[in-house]
Amino acid sequence: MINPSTRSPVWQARLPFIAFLVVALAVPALLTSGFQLRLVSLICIYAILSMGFNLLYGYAGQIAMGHQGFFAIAAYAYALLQLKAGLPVLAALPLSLVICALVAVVIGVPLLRLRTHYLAMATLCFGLVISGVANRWIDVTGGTGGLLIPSITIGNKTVDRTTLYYLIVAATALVLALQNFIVSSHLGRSLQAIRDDDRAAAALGVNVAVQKLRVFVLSAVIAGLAGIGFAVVSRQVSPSMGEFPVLVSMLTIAVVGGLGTRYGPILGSIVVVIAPQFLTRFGDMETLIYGLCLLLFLIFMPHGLSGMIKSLGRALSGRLARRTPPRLAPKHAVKKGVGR
Amino acid sequence: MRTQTASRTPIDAPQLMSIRGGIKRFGGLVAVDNVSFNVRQGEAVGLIGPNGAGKSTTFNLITGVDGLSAGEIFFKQENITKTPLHRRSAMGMARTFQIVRLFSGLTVLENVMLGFHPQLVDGFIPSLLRFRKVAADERRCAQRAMELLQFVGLAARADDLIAHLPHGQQRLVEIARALASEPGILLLDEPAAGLNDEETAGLGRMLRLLNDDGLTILIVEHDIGFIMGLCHRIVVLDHGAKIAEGNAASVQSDPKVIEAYLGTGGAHAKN
Repeated sequence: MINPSTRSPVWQARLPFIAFLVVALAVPALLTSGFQLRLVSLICIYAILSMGFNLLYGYAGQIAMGHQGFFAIAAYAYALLQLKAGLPVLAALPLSLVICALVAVVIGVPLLRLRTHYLAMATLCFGLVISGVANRWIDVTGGTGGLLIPSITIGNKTVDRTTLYYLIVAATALVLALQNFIVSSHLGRSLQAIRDDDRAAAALGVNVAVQKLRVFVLSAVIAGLAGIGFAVVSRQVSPSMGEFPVLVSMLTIAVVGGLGTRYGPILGSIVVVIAPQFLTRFGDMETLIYGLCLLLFLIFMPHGLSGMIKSLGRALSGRLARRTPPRLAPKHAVKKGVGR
Repeated sequence: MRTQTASRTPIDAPQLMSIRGGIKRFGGLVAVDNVSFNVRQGEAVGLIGPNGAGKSTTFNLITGVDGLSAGEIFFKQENITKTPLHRRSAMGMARTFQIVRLFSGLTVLENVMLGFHPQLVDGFIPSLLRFRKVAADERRCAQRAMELLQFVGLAARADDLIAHLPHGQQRLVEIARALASEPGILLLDEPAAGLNDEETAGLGRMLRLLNDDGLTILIVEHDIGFIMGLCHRIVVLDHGAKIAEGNAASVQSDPKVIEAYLGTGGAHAKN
């Protein structure tokens, strides 16, 4: 019998993690155009955003539809702290994440008493308020025009595009590592317990309300980090960051990549960022085709790309199992693959 | 009342848990009416009564699912009347549910590992700062959970999803999960419900083994037969009030109990 205590949870995550790092670090050498590098940056940024959302919705089962608000808040805070308060980048970055966390606590405490679609509606309203403020509080936010983000200078050196890309990859790796740590420890288990049956989780000593708030704040801060990354890459903040397209992208990534899986957010982000590039040749039909593809995806791959890779892996190891007599090994091989 | 078993020798030990003057009203209905009893250290106590007697409500008051309308509950000399659900479990109360409540998205092993939750580092940031301890705890919990699964005979199914297990085995996982916290008291809500005769007998033996090993047990049952050989003492509820308390033999021969179960009309629905 296989002793599970020898099965390091870290290993389940290490291989895809290394694969991500290798690919991401090799990208600047392979891609020549700035546009392509920007696309890969966008993949990373959406992956960050979606990893937070994945922890909140995929693992803890709390559906929030206002994270585009945090995406925008942190970006505006980051811009304003530099433009109006004259803070250096290294102060503005953490401070804007703290602001994001504080806002998340303030709205999380009352809203997390709600569940399911009530929570979704309430957080959606929060998102609408943020985009309303961003559009109308013109003196501060610059209205629909938004604000320009100063380029990052550390000391008197300006960070160039490739360095910026590496910074974003580093941030993505950090968030991915954090997500994997949470998911492979008792923290992730308690989140999944809340998702599956919060009353039973409470009976086992999980402080459901506090745990929900923690993961909400964490996902908001991660969304904020993604927002700052987005603003820096696009060199501006605009109210569109707090609007529906961001939410829709996030939800699409969750569905396409696979909810509650470790690498779903990255896989989903690749599809959501790259696919429209290939669809532009269809002109006016682009949105229609994109929507149709998503629909087919939902019908035939309810567990997303992660689920598909997992079942492919299972089929493959099932074939191997028929050839090799001991049957326990392949089962574990599947568990170590992509996914939970 | 089919099984006539010799009553177990009463235990003389300090009180571990007690409910005093417990009252629970739901609107105009008094579901639990001034119920008092205690459970001693190392004792197995049965809480029985016909359908609608208030057993489950009393159980919910003790575990903290419902708040009392009046009265007090003590556990380990502490007044826990107002203590929230998750804190009670951290204090050493572990429970199972009348209808098995496991986490369907987790494996059997992970379900049992959740039982360790109160002992582990709390919070994201403290966990990150003490990641070595978290990793060590994780290995220790997995090992201990595996031992518990071995105890209930399900070690081979550790990596299966809960949904793939038959009901009887799910019940055992729930018990293993409850045992993970090394509870001061194990509270069981109709554990034999939905089990076949063989499974019920196995469960009875397992609980007896645990109790002989020093685990305090409070068990709510509808079926008197199941707990007769197990419990030192039995508390009988009817219409929300305690009508009898004593060892198996005395309870079984109590005319009030016989009337509650058989009724004057003699219609006893189950078993």
